[in-house]
Amino acid sequence: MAKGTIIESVKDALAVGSNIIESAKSEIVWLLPLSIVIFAAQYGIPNKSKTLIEHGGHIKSIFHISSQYVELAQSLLDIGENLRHLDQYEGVFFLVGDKKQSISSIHVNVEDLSLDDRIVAFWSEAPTYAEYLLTHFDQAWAQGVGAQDRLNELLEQRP
Amino acid sequence: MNSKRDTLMSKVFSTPSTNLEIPRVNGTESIVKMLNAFELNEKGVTFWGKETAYCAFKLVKTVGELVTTISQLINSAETSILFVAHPSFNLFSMGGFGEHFRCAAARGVRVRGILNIYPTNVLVAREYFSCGVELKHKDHYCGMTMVIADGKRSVNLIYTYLKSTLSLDEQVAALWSDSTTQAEFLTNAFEMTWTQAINAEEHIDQQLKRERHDETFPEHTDKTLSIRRHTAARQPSLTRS
Repeated sequence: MAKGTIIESVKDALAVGSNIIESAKSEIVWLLPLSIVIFAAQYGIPNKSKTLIEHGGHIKSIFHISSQYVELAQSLLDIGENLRHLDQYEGVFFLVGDKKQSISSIHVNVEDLSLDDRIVAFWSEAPTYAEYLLTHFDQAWAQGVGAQDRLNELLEQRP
Repeated sequence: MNSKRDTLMSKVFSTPSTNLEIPRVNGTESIVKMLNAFELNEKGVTFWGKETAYCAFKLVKTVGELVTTISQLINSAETSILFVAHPSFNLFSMGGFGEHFRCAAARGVRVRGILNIYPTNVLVAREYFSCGVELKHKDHYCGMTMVIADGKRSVNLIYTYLKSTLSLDEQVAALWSDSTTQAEFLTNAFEMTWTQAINAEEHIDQQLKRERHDETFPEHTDKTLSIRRHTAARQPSLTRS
């Protein structure tokens, strides 16, 4: 596993992501497409995030918060995730645990993703690879806006 | 070599205090990794890591290092080079990689590349054709910028915005790797994009035809997409600060 493993399905990617969160001791950061965040919620992965936070861990997360998924974003805030909204993100999606384990994907059909879709993701335990992804995360984090501000904005727009 | 291996094995299992330069390891996998690294080092390959004997990844932190890394990848390739560049990654327009590609193609290396071809980089695209690069055009490419050599070594970068006038000292966040799994991962992504991309020459011809049409019917002209006007414009440049 030291040099990485290729992951080829959404299901496997979710399993790996879940495993990384479960085995993390102190920190998770993720930048994921909305479709994956929805799947993760359906599979109860936020419960593992909650457990990590309850044990003193931290989670920083970024996704595109749209008006249909205000409640999903709120539920992540409620369990204690430090969440941001990023508009019009185009790039690589990833999850990093404890600055070591990571899964990243280049091509994700973010608009219309199903569990059986083929993806190309890379699971790594190399700290250098994690550091590389975290550098990008910091840049994306700086460009994002606080989730609560985004939620307030979306709730104001609701009829 | 075997005696050196034996010596290394004995050091692996000895106490750290007597062998401060070699970290103690546990487990077969780590030992194999260390021995592999030892062999690579004997062939002249640099050790990248400190915690483990050898690391398949290395961060590339400046434009200068990135130019050098890409050039080395192209120059060391024996069978294939794949590259794809994000539209905002204009180093391919200014890095002077054309000659490297020409030399690679001349020694029988198959070079395939994907660019988002638009008026300001059409000259670069044509230069690549003349160098023997099989080039395709992809609209709105939003993945990693990457170069893969021989399906083994690679460099990729996520954040690709670079200024039009660029210093070699400018910070970037790129990743060099000689992990074949990483190269396979990137190659998969490249092939998916290659399938979606269109022939670059056809794309340029279509653009030129469209321009001729616009000249005949100026009321439909999209002034932002003039290839001939932009090819005359100044190309981005690379500087040393």
